[in-house]
Amino acid sequence: MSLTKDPLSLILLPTLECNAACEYCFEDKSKARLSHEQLAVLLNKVCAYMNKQGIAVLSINWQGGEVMMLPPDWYERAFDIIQEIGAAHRVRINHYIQTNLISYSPAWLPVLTDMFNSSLGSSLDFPNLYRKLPGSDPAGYDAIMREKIKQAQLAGLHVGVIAVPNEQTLLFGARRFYDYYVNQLKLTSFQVNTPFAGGAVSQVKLTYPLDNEQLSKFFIELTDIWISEGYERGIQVGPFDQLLNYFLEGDQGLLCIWGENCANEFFCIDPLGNLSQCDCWAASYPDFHFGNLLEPGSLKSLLANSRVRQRFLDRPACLMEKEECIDCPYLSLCHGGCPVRAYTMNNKLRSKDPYCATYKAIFSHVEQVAQ
Amino acid sequence: MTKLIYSIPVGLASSSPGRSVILRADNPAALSVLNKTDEDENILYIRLYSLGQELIPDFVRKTDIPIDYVLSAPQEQASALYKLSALLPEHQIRVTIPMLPGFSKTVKLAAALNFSVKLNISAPYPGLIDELTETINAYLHQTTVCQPVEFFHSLLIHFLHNDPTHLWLIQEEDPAVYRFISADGQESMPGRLADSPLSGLPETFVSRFREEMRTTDKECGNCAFLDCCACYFKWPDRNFSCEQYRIREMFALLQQAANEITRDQDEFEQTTSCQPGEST
Repeated sequence: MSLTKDPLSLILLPTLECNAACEYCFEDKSKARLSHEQLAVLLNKVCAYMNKQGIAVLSINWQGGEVMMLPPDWYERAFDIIQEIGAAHRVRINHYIQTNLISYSPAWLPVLTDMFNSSLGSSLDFPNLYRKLPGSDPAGYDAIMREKIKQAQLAGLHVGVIAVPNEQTLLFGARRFYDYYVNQLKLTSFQVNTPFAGGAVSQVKLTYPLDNEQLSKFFIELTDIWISEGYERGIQVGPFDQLLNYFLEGDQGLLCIWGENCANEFFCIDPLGNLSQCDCWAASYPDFHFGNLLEPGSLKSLLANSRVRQRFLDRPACLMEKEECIDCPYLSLCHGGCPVRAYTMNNKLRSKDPYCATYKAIFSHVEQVAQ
Repeated sequence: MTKLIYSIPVGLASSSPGRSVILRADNPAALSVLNKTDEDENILYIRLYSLGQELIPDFVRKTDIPIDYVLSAPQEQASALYKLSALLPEHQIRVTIPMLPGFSKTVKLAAALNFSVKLNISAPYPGLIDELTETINAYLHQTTVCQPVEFFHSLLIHFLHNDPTHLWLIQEEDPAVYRFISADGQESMPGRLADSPLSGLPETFVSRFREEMRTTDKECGNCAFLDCCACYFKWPDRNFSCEQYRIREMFALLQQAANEITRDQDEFEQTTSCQPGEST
């Protein structure tokens, strides 16, 4: 089964090394790094595949590990290599970056401007309980992050943030949460992701999933605050802004956890060349690798012949038979939700997302708001 | 004079030059007989009865010829829709679903995957109207259903705009427009008319049958939906009871929705036609 969507979306992990030590991280870190020679091999195969499929645009989502563990000049050279390969294959390539910003300095400005169109994504929680530097505490991490975000903003970069709520977030409530990101950090764009217990076991992961009832209440309150204070100001709060667009305009551009089948949408390549469904599977679940793209063979044959990928492809249809998803009024939005959330918390790939109740509550609320 | 549309096996495609055709293929491999270089504008769509490994051959995907994937066992074949949906961004694909028990779930899945849907009306069964009502309500009112579901869609347009259509035409079974060509090249009437010799001209069958039922059948004689139904459910069994299967409820739901849309539009126009400062 081929990927046909244009643009093709690739999550590229050039390194699995990280300078943080977050308690809820789902990745098993390593010193693995992608070389420029390997990058060229991978990109040539991806572009050849796109040519065969008639896909004209590639979106590369650079993630880690921590992407800034590689120096800016590594990206400058990588950018040149990719531009050359893209031109040779007549493929247009857009780049997006997700970084913890810890290593950010003005030295990054040229590459962030030229390669990433002056935009970056980062991560910060409120309150921060689990994000830390090695040997430090969450407060120290927060202080550095606030400073780095400020520096990046002052340099003219657009900073978007992913926030993962925790049990204290739910106690503090949506008001304080919204104020932190919009009024204190001066962000115009942030997205709330649900936590899951991926990778090695830790104390915090044992508390997942968060309580659906409390989480639903929090999300609904956050939506209402955003609608009344941020919507008309152009503040984007994901995934609520995408959902509102769906109900208002029929826009299908939803978060990756929702949609028909993520296995038809994108794939991930790690620094060793392993292909997997996404970054959540790449570093901690070698049994879920599709294969290795640095080995002989085309991307098309790897995608077509991977039995692991077939399990992902089959998942939504399987859920229609086994779970009650077929009876859900929001089937078209969700299709059973995220595979990694299901697998890490139910120990079964072919089970529905444990945040099902929360999703339904959000869908219903945003649908009402749209009406 | 209406130009006829012929439903022909794909193997006979080359023997029907200049005709408007719907090509039938049991499987994607059968499409290999098509001319791969010329895109024939007379091919209205390809009706496919099963999917292969590659789902639809690459050369067909590179054309603009729409595909109608016909399910025979909807619940067993539902998972195939997930595979096929991956092609939707680049190809127009409709799913035809027989109204067998449980069909509403398959319609729901197909609509959720953004397929347009056509229902094939089969023999009625207990519970049919409940499934039908559920499906109509989802089509009419569920914000997540964005694609047309036939025959509801054409009937809704009929009620909205007095569009002169009827179920025989919507279901592609009006012999004034559609003809069926068998594998051995024999021409017959479309759909459920295939096995029934018609008296009189095929072109006037629907109007004659409607008039016959209006004058001889009490249900049809008193039916507010005679024009758009054209006694579709009374064929081949003229004694079929629309009352028993609550067929009129289905039409009434669609008509009511059309009335509501018209009223909303009128109210909107009245509101927007007021000049600034005027009271509304």
